[in-house]
Amino acid sequence: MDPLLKIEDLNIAFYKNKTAVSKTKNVSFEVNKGEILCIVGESGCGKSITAMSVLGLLPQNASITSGKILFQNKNLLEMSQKQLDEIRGKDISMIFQDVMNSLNPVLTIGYQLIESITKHLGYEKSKAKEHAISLLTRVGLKEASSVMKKFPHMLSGGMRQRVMIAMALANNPALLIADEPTTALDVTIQLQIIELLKGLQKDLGMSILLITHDMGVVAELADRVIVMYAGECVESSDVKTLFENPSHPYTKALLAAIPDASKDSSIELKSIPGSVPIDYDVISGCRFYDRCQFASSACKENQKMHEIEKEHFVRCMLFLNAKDE
Amino acid sequence: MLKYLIRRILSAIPVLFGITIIDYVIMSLAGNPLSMIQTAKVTKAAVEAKKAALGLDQPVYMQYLTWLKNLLHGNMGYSLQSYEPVSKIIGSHIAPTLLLMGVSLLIGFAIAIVFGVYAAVHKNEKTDYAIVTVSFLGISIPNFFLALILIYIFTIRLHILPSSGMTTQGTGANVSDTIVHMIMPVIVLSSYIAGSNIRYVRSSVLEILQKEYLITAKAKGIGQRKMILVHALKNALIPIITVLGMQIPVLFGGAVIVEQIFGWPGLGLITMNAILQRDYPVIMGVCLMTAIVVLAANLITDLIYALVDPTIQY
Amino acid sequence: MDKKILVEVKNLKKYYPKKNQILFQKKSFVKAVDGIDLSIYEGETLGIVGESGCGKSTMGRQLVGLESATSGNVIFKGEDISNRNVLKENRTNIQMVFQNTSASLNPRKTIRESLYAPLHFHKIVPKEQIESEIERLLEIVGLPATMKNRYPHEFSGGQRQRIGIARALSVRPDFVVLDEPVSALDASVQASILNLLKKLQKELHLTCLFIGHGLSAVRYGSDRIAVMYLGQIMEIAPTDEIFKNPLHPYTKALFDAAPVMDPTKRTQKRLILAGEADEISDDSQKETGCLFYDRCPYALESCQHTKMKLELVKSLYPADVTDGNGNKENVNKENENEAQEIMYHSHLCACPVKTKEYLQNQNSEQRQEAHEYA
Repeated sequence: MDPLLKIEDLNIAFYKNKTAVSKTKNVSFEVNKGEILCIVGESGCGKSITAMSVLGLLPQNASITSGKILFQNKNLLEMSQKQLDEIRGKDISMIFQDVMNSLNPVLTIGYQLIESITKHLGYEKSKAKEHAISLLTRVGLKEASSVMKKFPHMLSGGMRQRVMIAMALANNPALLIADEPTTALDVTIQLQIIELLKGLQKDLGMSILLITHDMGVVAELADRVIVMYAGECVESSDVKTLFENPSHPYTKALLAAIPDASKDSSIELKSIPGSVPIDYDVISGCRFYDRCQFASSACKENQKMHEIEKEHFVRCMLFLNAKDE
Repeated sequence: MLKYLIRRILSAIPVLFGITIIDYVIMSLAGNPLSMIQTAKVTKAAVEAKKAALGLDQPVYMQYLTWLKNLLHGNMGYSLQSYEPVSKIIGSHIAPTLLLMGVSLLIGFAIAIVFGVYAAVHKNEKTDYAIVTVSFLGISIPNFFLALILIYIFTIRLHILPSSGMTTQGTGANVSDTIVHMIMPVIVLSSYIAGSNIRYVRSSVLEILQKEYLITAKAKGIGQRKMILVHALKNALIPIITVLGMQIPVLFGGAVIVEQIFGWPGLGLITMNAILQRDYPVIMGVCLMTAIVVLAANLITDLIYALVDPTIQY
Repeated sequence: MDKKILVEVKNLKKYYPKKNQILFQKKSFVKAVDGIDLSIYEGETLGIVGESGCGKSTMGRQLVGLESATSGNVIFKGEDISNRNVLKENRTNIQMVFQNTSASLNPRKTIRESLYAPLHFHKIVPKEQIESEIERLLEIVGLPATMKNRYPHEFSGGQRQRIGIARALSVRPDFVVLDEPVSALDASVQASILNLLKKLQKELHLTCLFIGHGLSAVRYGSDRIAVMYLGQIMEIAPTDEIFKNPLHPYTKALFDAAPVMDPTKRTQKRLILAGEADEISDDSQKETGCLFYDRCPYALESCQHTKMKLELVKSLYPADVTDGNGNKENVNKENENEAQEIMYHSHLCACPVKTKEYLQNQNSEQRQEAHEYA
């Protein structure tokens, strides 16, 4: 069964004063039908721009230097803007991190919902309105018809994110891309949104590509996980395996560094020495080298992904003995 | 909203008072109108008599209070030159000025919006540079200079446009005649408005294009045209409206010079004459009118704000 | 083991008038901080947890003197800091570390210049020693002294926060308010900052107020934790106690909402709090009842009318106190010290329903135990 979304060797570069700085290096992964794939990593690792590149939403100073983005076996990078517009909001939808600024402040909620519905489903206005109201109810907003007439600033952060989700689901997409959807929200609202996404995903059977830096969200939602560091995928596996058997030194260090409320507070947090290299694009070999406790000279070579157990890949020479990808 | 309106109107009244006082003081510093007519032939006694008759022998503050008292009775005084009621003078001249100003404002802004948006969307391309350069020209060329150039080309050389007046002498007033007379003065005024606002519109639209909700709009696949015209433009217009409000008093001033050159029978013309002749009542009348128009324009701008921007509630 | 109170907060309030007041109508307020009573003891780190809008940041700023109080007092070392002179004298004793690392450092000044200013102004060290003091401060927070001539934007978020901490510590304060110091940082960086804070607090005998909305971060560094909701404290207890026995429904909801780092526990039943915290308007009903009534899954009719108050549930103050050598200390101290100890170790909750329930359970357990021994 072909994967719904397949990213192959994606390389994205940012241009600063005419010099190209590579932000992702040969990023490859797949999202299968009906699954939730989480890409987890810290700020600057390239996970957000990878997500933005799928729908062609990169800023003007960024471009894709090589690679393929295959959606239902069609390369999105070879499509015109018009063709992409047919897919955007219909087959692939996206919700964003900054809920406070992601809705147009001078247009009503109703307008912003209906314009997407009429464009892609071709409904006439009254039918579109009905559909919009049912969507708002579905995402848990009470008094949906009065919400339709409101402007975004009249809604709280949690409500706005629900509206965004409603907009994203309006045309029954096959894939939902969620870029840190809960980061800006309070923890109790975050839980509400996580439960909402869980429920919707089950009911609609859609796939979700979820970008996050929060391992807790990964534990709650993911079926499979990709860990990214400094522009590269360093580990990929299903979620249970990742927490039970984290293999890449970065993954291990990350999990050890996260303060867990359920753990005893006297256990000291193991912080990762150093920090993410700013100009990581010029580093040859493993980019975690400086901060890794297992580093050796072999790490200076470009690392490959090794499959250490079924569907569990790690980009680290420590696992050279295992089957190569 | 209504309470806000009332509050604004009430607070405008002391402002108006303040303006008239300041105007009167400045005016009185300019000197006595009668010193203009004093020549060898006119005796001092006659001048003194005239002074008394016109009430100019009173100290300045008394003159002001007299004027104010009359104003509150609806009497704006009489011109020292023509002895006509000021209200009549202003009334007959205000319409042409408003016509000229209004049309110039509309055309100027329309040009600014169209080209500003285009320049923003095509940022850093050749067309963008061209538009911005032309807009600089619009601001930098002094309006009288542009006026004279236009007159030279279109009236003197090409004989296609009239260079003065609002209507052709002799014919009855009709619309197309007026329009033809308006072409050059409007070009002069609106080129300034367009020039200064193209860059405002451009930067405002550029700022909006960076906003997150534009990315959301793109992600919905609604297409670039809708993105710019619906999602971006409405937001970009909000700061433009402020600028519009600020340009109205500027326009008043610019209109004075343009009206002189084109012989346009508006307020500008009579104001210039009144100033040169120190015709106090007329000057005060015009100042008062101008102040009222400017305050009203500010108020209307703020009300339009509330219409366009739903986050503002009064 | 003398537990002295360093900062005392008495019925602290901060009300903001709502805009668009129509003349002659009763003014309505946003009650950001609505009657906080708190004692912060010397040498402790008190954690404040709550979601956005609960007033914790406002309160933090009031404690540092950056915001005035609508009513109530902040008493530092026995003196009220609303008095400008008192605040001025104690300015170097009370400091703050801010959340937004890029906004709180002057982007046009080098680190050295930013650290120089307070050292120089408050004459912390003689002029000749300022440079070496700057280097010492940077060392304490784990930054190489050679970086002192760089600008803030040349540092990472975590490094900037270290600079923020260095700056706060430069004037040798007794009391530091940390307003969500790690919320804006990546997970791995949070760890290093939290470790640093823990170390510094111990070494320098600092008293800290740690404001956070991340439960885990607050848990890691705090001796006691207070839970805030809509401007009031719902529960306060020593850290381990509040995690073992969260009594207030909001505390429970907060703890339950923290994502669990174990995918196998995903389907475990837990309390998902519905609705959102609403701004309190001038509703007279809300003035007397429990603020959490709307969202509380255990709410009773009576909760709408009973005035909310923090009540003592129990104190963990041990009956026997031993000194370092294991000898029983003389417990017959002056009443005041004893009272402080009791208060410090006590668990207070503002939910009478849950408190009663808990105490009843405790009693019946004890009776059962007594029975078994009999």
